[in-house]
Amino acid sequence: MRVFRIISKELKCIKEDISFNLVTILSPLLFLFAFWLMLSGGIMLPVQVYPDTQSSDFLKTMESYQAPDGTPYMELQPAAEAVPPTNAESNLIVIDQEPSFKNGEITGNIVHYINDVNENMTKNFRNRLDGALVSYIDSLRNGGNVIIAETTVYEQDIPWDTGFGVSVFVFGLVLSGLLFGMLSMTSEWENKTTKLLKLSPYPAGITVTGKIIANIIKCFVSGLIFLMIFFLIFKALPVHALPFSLSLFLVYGIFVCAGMCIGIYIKSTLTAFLISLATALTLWVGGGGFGPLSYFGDIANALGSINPATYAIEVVRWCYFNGNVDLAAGFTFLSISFIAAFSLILVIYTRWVRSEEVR
Amino acid sequence: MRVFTAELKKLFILFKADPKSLVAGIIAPTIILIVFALTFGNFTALKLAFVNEDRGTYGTTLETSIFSQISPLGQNPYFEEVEADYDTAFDLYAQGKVNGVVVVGENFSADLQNGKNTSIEYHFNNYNTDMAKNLRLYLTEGILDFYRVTDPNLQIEVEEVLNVETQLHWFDIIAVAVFLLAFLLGAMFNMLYLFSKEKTYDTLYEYRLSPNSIWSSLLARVVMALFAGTITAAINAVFIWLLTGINLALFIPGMIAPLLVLGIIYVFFAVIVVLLVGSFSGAAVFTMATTIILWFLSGATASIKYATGILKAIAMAIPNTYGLSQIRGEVFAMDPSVGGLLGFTEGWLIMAGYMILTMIAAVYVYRKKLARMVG
Repeated sequence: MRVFRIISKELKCIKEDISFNLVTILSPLLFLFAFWLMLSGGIMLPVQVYPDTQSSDFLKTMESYQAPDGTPYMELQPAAEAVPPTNAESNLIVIDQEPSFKNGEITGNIVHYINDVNENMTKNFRNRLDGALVSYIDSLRNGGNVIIAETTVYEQDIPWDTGFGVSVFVFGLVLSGLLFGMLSMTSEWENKTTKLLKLSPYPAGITVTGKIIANIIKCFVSGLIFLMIFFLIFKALPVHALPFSLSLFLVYGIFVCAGMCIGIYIKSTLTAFLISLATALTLWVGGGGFGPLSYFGDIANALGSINPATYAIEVVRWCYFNGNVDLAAGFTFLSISFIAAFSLILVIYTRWVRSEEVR
Repeated sequence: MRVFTAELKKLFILFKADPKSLVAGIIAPTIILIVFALTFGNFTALKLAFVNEDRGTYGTTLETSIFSQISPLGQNPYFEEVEADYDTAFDLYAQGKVNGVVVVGENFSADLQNGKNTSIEYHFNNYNTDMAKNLRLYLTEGILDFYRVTDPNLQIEVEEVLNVETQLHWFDIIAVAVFLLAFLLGAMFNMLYLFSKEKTYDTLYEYRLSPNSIWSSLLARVVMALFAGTITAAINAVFIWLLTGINLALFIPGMIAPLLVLGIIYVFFAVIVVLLVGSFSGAAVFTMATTIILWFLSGATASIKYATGILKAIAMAIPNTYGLSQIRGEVFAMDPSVGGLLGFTEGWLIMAGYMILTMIAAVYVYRKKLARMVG
């Protein structure tokens, strides 16, 4: 009964600071919107070419060189002349001598003007040009070609923006867990009601459990709003509802407990918010939020292996897209993390209510 | 002037008494910097298991070609070979320890020697379209090299001409943007935090008792906020120097104008939001999250010159885009106009426009919410 009263009190407290609760829901949505915009261009890159595509068979191949889902790798923009671009918008590819097959030889000369200081963009342009070249060589020759028979984990490549949207959802899980957990403690400091918690004759575990349940309810509401907007944008729903709900419960539970720990020590809502935002961003990016950890170095992978967000991203992605994920390991890690986080807040809270308040 | 001096003195006392107002500008950008250093600053070769069942020598040649291609990004090979037999390779793949498996069949060499086409199996994780694109194109780099090595009749040359001053590591480009973020967050959070302290101390109502105009107190708040932003940016610059070797102090004269204008815009933005929302925590969450998102959209991690449609329109409408481009231009001695996209004069006009608009709005809201109302 006492737990229900705590839950009821925590839920009523939403009215105290509606704007804060609203922005806790809005923040992940803003990130979703931003990253959706940033990735809306997909994998296609604009590139200048000379001459125009009609004058070169190779450029026609380049124009139609595409990923299996039909997305072209390059958007060809005809350049006015074959001179090094001084203020160009993109790299310039000049067909100096059209690649062609004559007398058993394939000859040609292409000049690629690199017009971006970022090494990553140089890599991207070079990869696409070389890929188009292989495709063109394959079309010119009758033999000697290496054909690649692909077998992929997912039936189709997961669209970058949809996959990233699911990843941002996990960021939202982490952030809302931390923020709601933190707010449930900092509000006690700011309302000067910490004394009441300390004077309560009930066991600390009951108060902690009530607060955690109330915060998880708030998190689920914020998650539901995110999922509705996510569905409206990407028309994607989780295909494994039960594991999805379980993973949400565990992730919310872990980060609500962590947020409450932060709230006990930090006291100031603003400072705790910033720490929560920075922590959520760190765990999310470090857990593979920006892309699979296999892209990154050994340190990032080592840190990722002890990061709950890593497992949360894997499990939630599986709930949406299937794939070969070690579900047992994911749920085991999340469950252990939840138990550890719950034990931690229980110990910290118990010690805190028993301690003297020094002002 | 008297109000300005008194206000500045008061804010400085508040600032000294509780330096936590520096927390936002230090913690958030430093963590972002370290996270980006670990991810975008630390690209490694993707792990690929290669199973060679070829009876001839072409399989080994293909293996050499695939694993010897060097990426311009970080100058690492695209792929790191994991030597394994067929079963082990697929075990590793199932455990996620390799990104893909290439299987070269036993007739690979024979097919090529007989003038036929041949095939290889490529098993990989198409986690998303970007990852799948990379895994496909990296393998194609190896195949192009294989064609060149094995076919003397293939005489297609690709000449790469560097048309920019230099090539920079991706993380270095991002780090300079994090420096800007540190300045903005540090300045904004100082403004919000000191407001919050005054709310706690119940001193904000005293403005209503003031017989003088209070606009100069707003000016003092802006000066104090920019001072705090300078401290947080300086601390961040030390981390950037440690991580990248770039000494941003050398470029201060060229960076100061865009930093100042952007700082003023964002501080005024914080003032408007905090006074309109009423809840200091809510305003802080909203302004900080908005600033980080606008930072991402303004080309912090990827150049906006490849953006299209609405993303490009939004990026072009954000003042950071122009300021960041000018700061990068200064630090890396490169074209600040991003290939002519962001004209220098237009950029300054847009930034100045934002500064004036936010200033007018902030002065209005500040006066309406805090100043004495007569009648």
